[in-house]
Amino acid sequence: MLATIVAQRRRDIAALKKTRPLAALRAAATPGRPTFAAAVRAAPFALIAECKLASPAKGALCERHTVPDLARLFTAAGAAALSVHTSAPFRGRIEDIAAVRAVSPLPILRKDFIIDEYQLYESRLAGADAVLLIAAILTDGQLARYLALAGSLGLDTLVEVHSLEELQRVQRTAAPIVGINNRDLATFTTDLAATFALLPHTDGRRLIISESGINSGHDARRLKAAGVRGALVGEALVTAADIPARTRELALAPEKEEFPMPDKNGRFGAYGGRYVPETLMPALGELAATYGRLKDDPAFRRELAGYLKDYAGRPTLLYHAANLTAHYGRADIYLKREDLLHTGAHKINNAIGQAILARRMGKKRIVAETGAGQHGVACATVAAYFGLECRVFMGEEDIERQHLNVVRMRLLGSEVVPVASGTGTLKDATSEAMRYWVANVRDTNYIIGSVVGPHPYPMMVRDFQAVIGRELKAQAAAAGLQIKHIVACVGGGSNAMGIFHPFLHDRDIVKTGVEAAGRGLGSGQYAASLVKGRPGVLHGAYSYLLQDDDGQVTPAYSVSAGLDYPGVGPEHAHARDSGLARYVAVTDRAALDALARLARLEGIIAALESAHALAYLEELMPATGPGQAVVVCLSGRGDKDVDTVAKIMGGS
Amino acid sequence: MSALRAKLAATLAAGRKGLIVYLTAGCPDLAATREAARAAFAAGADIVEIGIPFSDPIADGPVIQKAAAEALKGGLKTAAVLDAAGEITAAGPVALMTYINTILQFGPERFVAAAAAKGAAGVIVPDLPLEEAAPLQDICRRHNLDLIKFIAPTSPPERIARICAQAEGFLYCVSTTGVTGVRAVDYSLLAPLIAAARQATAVPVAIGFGIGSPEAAVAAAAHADAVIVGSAVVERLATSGPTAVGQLVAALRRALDGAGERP
Repeated sequence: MLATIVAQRRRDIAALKKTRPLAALRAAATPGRPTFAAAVRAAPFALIAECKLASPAKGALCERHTVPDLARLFTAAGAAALSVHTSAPFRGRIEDIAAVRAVSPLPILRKDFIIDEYQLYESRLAGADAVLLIAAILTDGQLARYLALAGSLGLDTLVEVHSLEELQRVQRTAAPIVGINNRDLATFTTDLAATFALLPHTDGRRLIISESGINSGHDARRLKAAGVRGALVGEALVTAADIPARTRELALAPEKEEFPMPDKNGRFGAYGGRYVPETLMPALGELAATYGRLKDDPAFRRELAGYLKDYAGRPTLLYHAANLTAHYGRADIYLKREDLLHTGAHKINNAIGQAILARRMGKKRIVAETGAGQHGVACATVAAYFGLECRVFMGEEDIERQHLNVVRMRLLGSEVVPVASGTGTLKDATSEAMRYWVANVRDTNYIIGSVVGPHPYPMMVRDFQAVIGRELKAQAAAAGLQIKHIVACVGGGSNAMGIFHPFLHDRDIVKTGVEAAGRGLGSGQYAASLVKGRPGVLHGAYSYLLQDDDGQVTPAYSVSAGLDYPGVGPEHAHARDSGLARYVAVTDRAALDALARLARLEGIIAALESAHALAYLEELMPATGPGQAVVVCLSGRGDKDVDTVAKIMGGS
Repeated sequence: MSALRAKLAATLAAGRKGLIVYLTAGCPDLAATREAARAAFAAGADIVEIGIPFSDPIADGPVIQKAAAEALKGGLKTAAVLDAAGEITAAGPVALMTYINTILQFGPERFVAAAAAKGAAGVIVPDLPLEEAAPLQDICRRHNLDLIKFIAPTSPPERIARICAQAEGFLYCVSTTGVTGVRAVDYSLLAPLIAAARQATAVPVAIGFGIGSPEAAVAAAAHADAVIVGSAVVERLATSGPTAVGQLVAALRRALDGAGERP
């Protein structure tokens, strides 16, 4: 059958050359910037999903969808790249590439029986990012020539092999990605054993993809465990009853996609929910509905991305801390520099997102709570920028220790309302902001600063902060980093959830949240809710909480005002219980030492909050090895803390 | 019929409006709470709500926040409040009001069982909206305790209908968007809200939040079956003692009854 198809292709090309000669194609083709290989490399397991309607062996496979429909489904369900069949026996046409390009940003592999350089120019002109080269139908000379030509045209290549002999031929070329086809070309049956039989013979210098016959998540996991970097799948996807579900399954993203967190009641496992007075329930419902509509709306995403880039200063650097790395002499340490954002901390990511939401909901006033003042400053900033009236509740104790931020908020035109009740810190400021919101819910939007509070806040704030992790993922892929650890401080936990979230289900990367142990975990004076607390309800959500036997919330303590909170976001509670992330605590003293260490070694003054994450390196680094990458979220800069630090450190 | 609803029904049948009084337990101490509760019943309160203090009461204004903080400073325990409540249930129907964390940490089953054993008639949890209420509701049903439902001025009609379908004892209608505490309220604005509730339930409707004087009680009662007075009573107990609470409740009762008598 293969010979018949190839012969037909040869006749097709001869005909094409008459209507549009090779020279014309050559003149029109400009080199592309292919993204296919990078996408395969970046994905933990790259599903290359084939938009295939029929096959010569089986006839029609999918009658319900068009090729662009399939592309849309695959894209939404987590495929890393798309494959488009462009030959007649598969009911494909070269024009399908443009049709798919119009509906999906994913890299496109042109799948065809390529036997003539004419088809490479044609692929480039059609907009493909990559082409499939089949070793079985090409001579060594053709293979080498086509690989070189594809390279010069800016096309990535996937070279397909069926046998050991073909694999050995291909391994004498520069082919960067090799696909092992599990389909027996004589019988057209598939057997995953083909991949496992050839794997021991691969030379370790190329990305290996398995093709056809991958029918379940179990198959995909077996391949991944064996070192295979992805799968090219068509039939198993397009013949599935539930195409998105099968796509998610084979893309190995089932936990994240099949059990979306939170559920419709705002639950992350047992945690979260909405424990608020009835007065607020309709407003939370409206907020969740508006956010639900907007979060995938292209116009909203563009608007948000625009402000994050042009106003906040994203993307932030992934900075290789060479001196700190040398200090420990183990893994490479990278700092995700959220401290370089406008207003000096990650809080602006969320404030911008929620301010845009407030505007879309027609609310003219915003209210916020703040601990260290970073969220307050971020809210005051966006309020000034968008012309919103802003009121920030701040504990009296925090007003004292974070005076600089109080001045900033007032300068930006916001009203700072001192809160004297309770401990005069973030907990009491949050309670007071919620009370104010209850009274003014009709015209006011409450911008919560962390992944805490009633649903939809933990989800919404996480989504706005997840830009940190998404950026990190792209930056790490571009730099070819193998991230082993991600470390972030946890108060309410917004910078931590933001950087963890895109990696939450990647078991190869250890996510560590660092809480404040204050004067020591034995001292009773700490803010380590996940390490020392137990589940309960505070500020509208069920999560870990510092409390006494009767459920009275006990005061938290930390030298860092931003971590000085007895609760924590419910998704962290779920991550803790399910082992998706782990949580530790470091003392004031360790954090202060880490702050000084980074300042002296790297010339960077970190916020006291972020210094907790840095302090954990003391324990972590000896257990790491060269060649690994450890990423620390440097959530904020330390200008606001210099008075506190000076007071404690004195002249030292 | 539940004890709470039966008591209000009897009052309404006599041509009078219901009067519900709230006390924060343990402020200044539990003896004062017991004495004030008995004085309130004697002066004509139909129901007394005993508030179990919580450290972070997000639905409460300054007066009740302060009372709760003082009670907790004195080392007040949930179990002690349940015991104290048990000593006043003979004087009239008692509902226990507290935040959900207090109940979760005591253990919902243990809490409701203890409340029922002490003779309490209902539980009021201001931070437990309908969507989160099911587990506690099941336990309360098994122990024949009413779990009081709230409606607020922000509740849309379809939501009011869903809440009212679950209403028992009485329906707690929050007078304004805001926390507890005495303030001027135009109760006539509640007319459509209460009309919607009446379409959906026959349970008596009580207005709470903001009512601090006999005049305000009369104004609110014109739109409902009962009124709830909290902060004003708590404040009176703190400043003038249990006897003064009795006097305030008597004044509220007189005003409500006077307004009920058509000349």
